[in-house]
Amino acid sequence: MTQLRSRRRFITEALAASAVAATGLTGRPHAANAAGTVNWLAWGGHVEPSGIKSFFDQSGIKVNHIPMAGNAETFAKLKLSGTSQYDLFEADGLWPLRYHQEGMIEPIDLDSLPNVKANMHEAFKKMPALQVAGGKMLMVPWGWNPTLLIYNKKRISTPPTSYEVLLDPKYKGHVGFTSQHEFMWPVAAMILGIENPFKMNKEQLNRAKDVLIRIKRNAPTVMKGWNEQLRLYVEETVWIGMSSQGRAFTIQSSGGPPMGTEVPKEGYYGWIDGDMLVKGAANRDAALKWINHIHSAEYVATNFKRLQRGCANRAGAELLKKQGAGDLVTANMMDKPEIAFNMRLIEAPQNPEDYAAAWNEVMAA
Amino acid sequence: MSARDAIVGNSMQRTPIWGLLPMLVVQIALFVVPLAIMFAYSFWTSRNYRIVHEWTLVNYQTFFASWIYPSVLFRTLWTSAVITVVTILLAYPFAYWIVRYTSRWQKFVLGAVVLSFWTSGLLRAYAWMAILGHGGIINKGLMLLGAIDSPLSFLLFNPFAVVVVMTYFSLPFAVITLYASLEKMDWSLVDAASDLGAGPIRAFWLVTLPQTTPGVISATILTFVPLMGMFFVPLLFGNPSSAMIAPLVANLMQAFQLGLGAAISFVVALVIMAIIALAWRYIDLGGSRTA
Repeated sequence: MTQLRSRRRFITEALAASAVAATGLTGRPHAANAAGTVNWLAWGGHVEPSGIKSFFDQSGIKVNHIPMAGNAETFAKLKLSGTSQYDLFEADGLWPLRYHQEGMIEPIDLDSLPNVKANMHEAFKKMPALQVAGGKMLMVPWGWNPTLLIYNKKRISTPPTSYEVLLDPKYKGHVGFTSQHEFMWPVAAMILGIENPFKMNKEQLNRAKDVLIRIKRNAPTVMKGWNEQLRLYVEETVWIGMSSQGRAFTIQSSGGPPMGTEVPKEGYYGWIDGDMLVKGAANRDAALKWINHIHSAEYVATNFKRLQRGCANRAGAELLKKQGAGDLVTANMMDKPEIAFNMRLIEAPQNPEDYAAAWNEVMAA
Repeated sequence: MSARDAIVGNSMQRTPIWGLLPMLVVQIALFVVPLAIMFAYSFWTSRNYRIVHEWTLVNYQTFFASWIYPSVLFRTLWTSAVITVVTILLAYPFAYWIVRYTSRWQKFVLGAVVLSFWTSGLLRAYAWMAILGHGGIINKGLMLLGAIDSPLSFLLFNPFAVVVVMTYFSLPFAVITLYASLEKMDWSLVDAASDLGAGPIRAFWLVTLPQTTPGVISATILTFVPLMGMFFVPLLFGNPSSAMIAPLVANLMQAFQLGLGAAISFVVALVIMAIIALAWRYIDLGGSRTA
């Protein structure tokens, strides 16, 4: 009987302990539940665990990061499942316009966020393409990068001047071709002299597809993401491709060959990414506090030191310089925000069905 | 028959049906419902990121009218078949060795086989990059030894690399299945064949192989089916001109072309189901023959 009772007691206590653990009452301040949670659909490159922790310590708000994929994939996902489970999500270039058209986001008054008001380059706060009536912005800009020509100086002695170099048979097996189609279509369109790579008609798309197939035949593989690109450039499998000055710097500083960067004569595209507020977000105030927090100079400096690209935040770049990372700031043009505004920005294709079919033909060829 | 016997008899007849219920629920929830949803989607189209809920065969027409999808599906079938054959040819002798010659170390060897499941597939794929890559162990080692001047290009980004890495991924499934089949075999029959004058090869051909044929077929299915949907290995290790079907379906899904993606997935599923049905039939016949 005693044995039976002690077994029951053990089970009861175990269940109680499990319930406590499940509700998160152990080891977390009560403020956590009171202050709420922010559901942040974001690229892993934007996430600094130390920043999430310091925000929690200061505010009691828990940031729940949900990893995000590419622009088109995220848009498709949110169209299918809705936005209600998120408070914030991210996008590149002119994609926020598409979300705005669909009524999925709420424009933000950037000056209402003290860190953004004080720390961000003025030009990023007032991007005409992403501004709506009343001066509110569809997105809070974060990082940016142009898509220039980068090349291995050891293997290619004459600096390339045009994207056409990617079609040159002498570089067969050494050309970088990425799976990010939104950066590949502009290359083909610019080689063909087509004005808008995201508004091509079927005939133009067909010609652009043929160009991409020819570039792909010069590539050793289809590169998936920055880490793979970095490895292939460092071990000199890939000699030439599209990326930024900052990324060329990273390749070199990661033990790779000396890298050159050239602005192609056709011009160049690029991206500016950032966060958007979900329309009717369940945790709107907490989400805005989080946006304000990530635009502190400390968060920005930590993040851009880890993952290098152009930066919309002036104070963050200045802090990096003070920390002795001036070469990184220069290489990534963080102190030259005007370059970001010379880029043409990627956007959602006008007729996604045709683009998807054409891209699959490129991949299958 | 007494009333009690009749009740007991009835309840015994009913028991298997109730016993099947949990499995039926799981099957319906995890297999039938998703397949039905996919089937419905395959008759709808998308226009400008909106699903058009009008029933149409246009997605199936696109699949069969285009040169891409049938040819890539055929390439996927062919690649999967080659890798399956290589896997079974490697797995069978390995499983045979485990059953016949490892006695004390059997659990340890089997543990080593399943150990690979403990780590993420993607991580293991990247580990292969560190072996086969231009800056990988093989190339660096050979260059250090002075055997080669530049990295061997055939090690990566070609069908060879895809076959090697996908065989590596498939091997544990095949080994475990074949081990189960070989382990429960009646080995006294092999001894009897030897006593009657059969040599080892003849005994294997006439006794061991026929007895383990259902195991070979199960291993073939367990190897072949996941290969058809393999996503990251062809992308990471194949050359850019040897795409397989799964990445193309993923491209469509990511671009909100859910209808076409579902139609292609359904065609692939039908092909796989047809293969399994054929194999299943063969296992049944094999079972009745051995019984």
